Amino acid sequence: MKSYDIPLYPGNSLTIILYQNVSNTDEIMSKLLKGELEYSIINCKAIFDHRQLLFAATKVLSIQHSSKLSTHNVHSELIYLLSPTTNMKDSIKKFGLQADDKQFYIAIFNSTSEKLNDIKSLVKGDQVEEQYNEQSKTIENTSYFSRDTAIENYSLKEYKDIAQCDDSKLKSYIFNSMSMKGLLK
Amino acid sequence: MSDLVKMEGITDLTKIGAELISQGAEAKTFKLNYFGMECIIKERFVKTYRHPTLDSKISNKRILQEIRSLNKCKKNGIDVPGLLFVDIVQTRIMMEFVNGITVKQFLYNNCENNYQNTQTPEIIRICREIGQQVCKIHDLNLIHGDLTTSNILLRTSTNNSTVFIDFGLSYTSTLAEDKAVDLYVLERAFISTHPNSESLFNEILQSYKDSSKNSPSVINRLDQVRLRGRKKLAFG
Repeated sequence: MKSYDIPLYPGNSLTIILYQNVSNTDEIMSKLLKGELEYSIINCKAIFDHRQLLFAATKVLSIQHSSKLSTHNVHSELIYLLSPTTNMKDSIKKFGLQADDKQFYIAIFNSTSEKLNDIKSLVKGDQVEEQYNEQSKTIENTSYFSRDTAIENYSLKEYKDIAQCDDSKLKSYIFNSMSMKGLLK
Repeated sequence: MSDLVKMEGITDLTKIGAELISQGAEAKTFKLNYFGMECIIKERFVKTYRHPTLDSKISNKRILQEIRSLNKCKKNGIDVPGLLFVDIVQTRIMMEFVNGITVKQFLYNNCENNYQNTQTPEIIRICREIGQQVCKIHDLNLIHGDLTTSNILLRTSTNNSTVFIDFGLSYTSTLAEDKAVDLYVLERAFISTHPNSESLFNEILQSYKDSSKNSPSVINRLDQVRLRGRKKLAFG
């Protein structure tokens, strides 16, 4: 579990938790669909490190700041903004929780200890203690990252050298796709 | 739910440790370490002498044009800074920081005033690469609009490969005229910042010519543009 302050929008933070071996995804899913959960649950196959969530979170705040959110709340907006398309159903399907997921990220804006306890009692699984890297100031955990999923979810086939590019290039392409969301002709 | 987050945003980027690295007529550029990543933030400022509606329209149009061009280049394998975050309302673009120096600086460092006698293989290679890359950009029907030696960087980590920056004045066009004017702008910039460097520019033109089948018509146009200057239509 790690909390980050968002520098561009002071006073706000994002807490990220990684869970694995979760056994009650169905229960979480049903609560999620009823809209009872005040946090985002994110499919971790297309997430290479915490920065990806943090840039999306910055964008959530910037949209909240200057116009209106496209979805109901900041937490669903976070999932929506991870996706490069403006298709909402597709975004939730690709980046949100799926019924057969055993591992996922949970992201909470401005978390409180009550909320963290709620999560702890709801999710039956192991909370992963990820190693924070002081130098890169983030947590890079690629154990659940799948290159193929990322290429598909971010339609990276459009990039000419995607077949032979290295990881750092792939990440830069992902950021590129994320930031171009809704801004193409 | 909306009271969950605080709404105050940072307007003065230097307050969060951003360092102003350059200021042009259109925008300010800041360098910032954002979650461990070296970033460039390019922020267009409000011009008070323009009518507010017109100002926001122009800023909006240019920022969109810039990111679309960057995206197009990125997708087609031309090295440009990768986008990280775009805020249209605050006219802010966050981009990857490119570690390196400008071609202008590189030429100043390596050629002390005389560009004719000091043509090292490295300089020739860079000129050839510029020609090739500009040709690639033009083949995408993209006109950079402000090609100068200070808008081309040399990336240190990949042995001085060229990176194109500042697409703020770019636009799409298929006309040989526009591409020729783009080259003409580069030629003028080259000659005025680096006197007696004609041979280097010829190197660029040569590799431009060799890189695409569309080049000859552009080069022909360039000869006409040279005779009359870059404005085709003269007003009043």
